[in-house]
Amino acid sequence: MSLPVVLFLIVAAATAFGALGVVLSRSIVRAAVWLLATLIGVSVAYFLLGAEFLGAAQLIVYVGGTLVLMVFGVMITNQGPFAGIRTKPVEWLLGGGLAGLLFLALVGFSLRAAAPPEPLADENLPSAGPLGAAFLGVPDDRGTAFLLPFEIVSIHLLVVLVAAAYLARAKRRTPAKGAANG
Amino acid sequence: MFNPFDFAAHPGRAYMVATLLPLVPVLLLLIAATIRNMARSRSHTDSFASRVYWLFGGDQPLKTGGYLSLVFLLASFGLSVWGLLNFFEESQTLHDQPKELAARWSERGDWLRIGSAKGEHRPAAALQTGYRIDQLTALMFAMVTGIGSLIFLYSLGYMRQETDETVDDHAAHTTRRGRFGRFYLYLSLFAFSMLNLLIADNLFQVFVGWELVGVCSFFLIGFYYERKSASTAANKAFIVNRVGDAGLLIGIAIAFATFGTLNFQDLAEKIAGSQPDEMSHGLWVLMGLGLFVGCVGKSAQVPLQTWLPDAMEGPTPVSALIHAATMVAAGVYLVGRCYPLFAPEVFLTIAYCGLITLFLSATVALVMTDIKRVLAFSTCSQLGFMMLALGVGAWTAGLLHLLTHAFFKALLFLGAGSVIHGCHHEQDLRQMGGLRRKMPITAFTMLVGVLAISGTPFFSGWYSKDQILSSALGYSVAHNQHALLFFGPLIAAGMTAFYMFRLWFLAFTGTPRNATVYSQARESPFTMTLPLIVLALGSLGIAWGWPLWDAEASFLGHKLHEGEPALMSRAFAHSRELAEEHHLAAGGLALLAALLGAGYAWSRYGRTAPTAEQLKEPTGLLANRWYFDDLYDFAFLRGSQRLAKLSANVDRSGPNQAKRFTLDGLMSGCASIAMVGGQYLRMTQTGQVRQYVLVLALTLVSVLWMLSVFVR
Amino acid sequence: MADVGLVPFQILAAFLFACGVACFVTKRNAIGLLMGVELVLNAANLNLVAAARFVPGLRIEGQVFAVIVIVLAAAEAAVALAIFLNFYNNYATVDVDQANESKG
Repeated sequence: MSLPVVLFLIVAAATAFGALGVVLSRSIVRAAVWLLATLIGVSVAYFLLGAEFLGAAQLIVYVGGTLVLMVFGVMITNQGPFAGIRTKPVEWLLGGGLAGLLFLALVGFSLRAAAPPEPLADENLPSAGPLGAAFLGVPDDRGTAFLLPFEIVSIHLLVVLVAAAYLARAKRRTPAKGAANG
Repeated sequence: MFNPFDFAAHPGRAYMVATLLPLVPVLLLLIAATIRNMARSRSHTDSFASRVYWLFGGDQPLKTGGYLSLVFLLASFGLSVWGLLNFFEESQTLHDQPKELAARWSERGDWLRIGSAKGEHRPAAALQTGYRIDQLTALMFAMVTGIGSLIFLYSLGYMRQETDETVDDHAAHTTRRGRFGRFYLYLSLFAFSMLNLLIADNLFQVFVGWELVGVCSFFLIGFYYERKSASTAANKAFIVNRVGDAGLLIGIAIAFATFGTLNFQDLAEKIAGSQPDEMSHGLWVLMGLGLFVGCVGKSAQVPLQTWLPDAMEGPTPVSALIHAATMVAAGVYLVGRCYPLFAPEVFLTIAYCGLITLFLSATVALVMTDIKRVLAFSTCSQLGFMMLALGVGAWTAGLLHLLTHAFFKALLFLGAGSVIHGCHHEQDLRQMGGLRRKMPITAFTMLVGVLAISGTPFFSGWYSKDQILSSALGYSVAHNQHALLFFGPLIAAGMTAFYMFRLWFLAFTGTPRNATVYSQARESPFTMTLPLIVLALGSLGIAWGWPLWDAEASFLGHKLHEGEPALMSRAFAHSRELAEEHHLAAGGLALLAALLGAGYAWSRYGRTAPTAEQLKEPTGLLANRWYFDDLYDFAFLRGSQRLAKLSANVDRSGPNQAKRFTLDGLMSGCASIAMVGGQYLRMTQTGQVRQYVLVLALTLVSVLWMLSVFVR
Repeated sequence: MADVGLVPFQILAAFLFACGVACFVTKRNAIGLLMGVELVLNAANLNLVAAARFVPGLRIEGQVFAVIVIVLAAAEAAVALAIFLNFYNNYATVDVDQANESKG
C-alpha cells in the first residue's frame, strides 16, 4: 500500500463515481456537473502518470472549453417542458446490459494481454519540452517527429471553426416544425 | 500485340477486318436507336432529352444508317477484292508450298478452354476461333460482299416508303412508324454473320454464324410483323431451320467427341488416317448425315423445304440477298467444306436428296402465279442441282453453280422487286402483261437472268449447268443403277427453262391484263436499275473463260478447281473420266431440254395471249406443293398445339391453392418473398437516432466479444 | 506509479468507456448524448497515456496521440453543439426521439 497506489485508488474512485453520476442523473445540469468532476479526475490521473502537459491541457481545453460549451448548450435548450424527458426502464436495462458486457470484454482483454516488460522509472519520464519539440518537428532520440499531424490538426481546427460558425449563425426562427433553414 | 492491320505478314487479316466492318453500322444504329427510343417519351417537352431526340433524327426513321451500312459493306467488298487478287497471286507463286500458303492465310486461337489434360499444360478441350482463306472462301466472300453491296444500294430505292414517318400497311390494316434504320440494322448484322460463317475454319464458328444468319432471316422475313402471314412465315422459317440445326449439332457433337477438334483441316486429316480404329463406320455415316441434315434445313431441301416459299413475305431485297444468293447457299457451302468428312453412303444421300428437291420444286414452280413464289421454288430447285452435283463428286461444278446462281437469282429477284415496286405492290402474274414497254431496263435485265438460269450458251448458268449435267452423266454411266441421277436433272432443266420463260412472257409481253396496273406502272429509279444492270453483266460474264465456247474452260471454274479437296479426285476418279468422255453428249442433251422447255413456254404464253382457262387459280397436287405443309400440319402441328393449350390451361385455370404449385405460382412466390422480406427489413429503419446508436454499440460489443473469444 | 502497473489504469478506462456507452445509448437529451461521447473519448485518452507511461517501446507517442484526440474532441463537440442548436431551432426540442424524419 504505497503512496502511489493509494493516490491512484482515490483518483480512480472519484472518476468512476463521477462517470456513474453522468449516466444516472436525471437532470441535464446535474449531469454536466458530474461530468466536470470526471474530467478533473482524469486530469489528475494524467498528472499521476507523469504527463503534466497533458493534464494541464486537459483542464484548459476540456474543462475550461468543452464543458463550458456544453453548459451553454444546456442553458440555451433547457427550457421549461423539456427539462425532464425520461428514459423508459427497459431502455435502461438494454443500455446498462450493453455497457456491462462491454466492460467485461475490455477488462478481459487487458487481463489477458501479456504483461509489458519493465517500465521506466519515475525519474526518466519525458516532459513537456520534448513533447512540444516533437510537435514542431524536432526528432527525438529515436528519430520520430510529429510535425505533420500537428499541421493537419491545426487545419482541421480551422475548418471546424468555420463550419461551426456557419452552422450556428443567427437565422430566422421558423414557426413551422420541420422547415429546413438555410 | 495483335495488330489486325498487319496485312503484309498475315494477308488473311484483311478478311477478318472485312467481316467485322458490317458490325460497325449495326452497333451505331443500335446505340442511336436506343438513345432515341429512351428520349422519345420526353420528345415534346423542352428538355435535354428532346434535343437528343431531334439530334438523332426526330420522328423520322434513321436514314443515315442506310447510307452508312452501304459504305461499310462497300469497304468490305474492296478489301475482299484485294484479298482475292492477292490470294490468287500467292497461290500461283506458292503453288508447291501448300503449308506455307496455309500459314499465311489462316490463323486460329483458343476461345474457350475446358478442363485440363492429364499431366500436360494444355486444356483437355478447347473451342477455337479462327479463319482460313482458300479459293472457295475468297470467291464466296467477294460474291457475298459484292452482291450484298448491290442489294444494299437497291434497297435504298425499294424501301423508300419506310423513310416516311408513318406508313400505311394495307395488308395489315394498320398505320405504323417507318422502319428504315431497322432494315439496314438487320441487313448489316446478316452480312457480318454470313461473312463470319464463310471465313470460319472450324465447325463451331460455322455454327455460330449459321444460327446468326437464321436469326437475321427471322427478323427480316418478319419485317412487316403486323401482318399475320409475315410473322407466321418468320416463325416457320426459324423453326424448320432449327430442326435442321438439331442434326447439325449431332454431327458436330460426334465429331468433337471422337476427335476432340472441330477444325476442318484437322478433321479431314484425322478421318483420312483413322479408319476404322477411332470411329466405326456407322458413326462416320451418322456424323455425315447429321451435318447434312443441317444443310437440308438451311438450303431448303426436301423434306425441310416448306419454309422457303413462305419466306417471300419479307421485302424483296431480303428475298434476293438471303433466300437466293447467300443464306440458302450456306448449306451448299457447308457440304462443300465438309466434303472430306462424308462417308460414301452420305454422298449418295446427298445426291438423291438433291434430286428429289430439284424435281419436286420444279414441278411446283410450273403452276405458281405469284412472281416471287415462282422464283422461290426455282431457288429450291437450283439448290437441289447443287446438292446433286456435290453428291456425285462434282465439287467444282456444284460450287461454280452456287456462284453463278447467286448472280442470276439475285438479278431475277431484284427484277421482280422492280416490277412489284413499279406496279405498286402487285405480285400476281395474271395481273401483269406487256410491261416491257413501260419498264424496258427491268425487262431486258430479267431476260438476261432468265437466259442464264435456263442454261443458254455463253451465259454464266450454261457453264455451271453443263458441268453438273456431264458429271451426273458420268456418274450414272459409272454406276448404272443411279441413272435417275442424270435423267432427273435433265428433265428438270427443261422444266426450269419452261417456267422461267413463262414468267417472263406473262409479265413482260402480250397485252396488259389489268389496265389499272399497266397505266400506273413505271420504270424504277436509278438506285434500283443500276444493280440490275451490274448483275445482268455478272450473270452474263462471271463464268467466262477462254475459249468462250468450251464449258470446261471457265476461269472461275479453274480457280475453284484449285481449291478442291484432294482426296475427292481419287474417290470419284472413275466417274470423272466418264464425265470428260461424255461431256459433249450431256451438254447437247441439256441444251435440247432447255430449248424444248423454252419453246413450249413461247408457244403457250409468248406467241399467243394466254387463255382464260390458263389463268384461273391453280389447284391440285402441284398447287398445294405436294401437300408437304398439310402433312406436317397433321403430323406435328396439331398435336403440339393441343399439348401447348393444355399446358397453358394448367397455369391459367386451376384452383387458387393449386396455383401455388404451378410454375407461374413459383415465380410469383419468389417475387413475393423478396417483397415481404423487404417490408420486414424496412421496419428496422425507424428513423430513431437512439435505436441506430444502440445497434452500433451492440455491434461493437459483439465484435469485441468475438475477438476476445477467438483471438488468443 | 511503477507499482500500480498498466492494468488498473486500463480497468479504469474500461469503466469510463462503459459509462460513456451507457450514457449515449440511454439519454434522450441531445446534450446528454454528447456527454457520453466525451466520456468515451476521455477513456480512450487515459488508455493512451497509460500505455505511454508503462510500455517502454512508447515514450511520447501516447501523449502525442492523446493531445491530438483532445483537439479533435473539442472540435467535434463544437460542431455537434452547432448541429444540436440548429435542430433545436427547427424542432423546438432537444429530444432526439423527435428526430425521426429518416424513417423509411
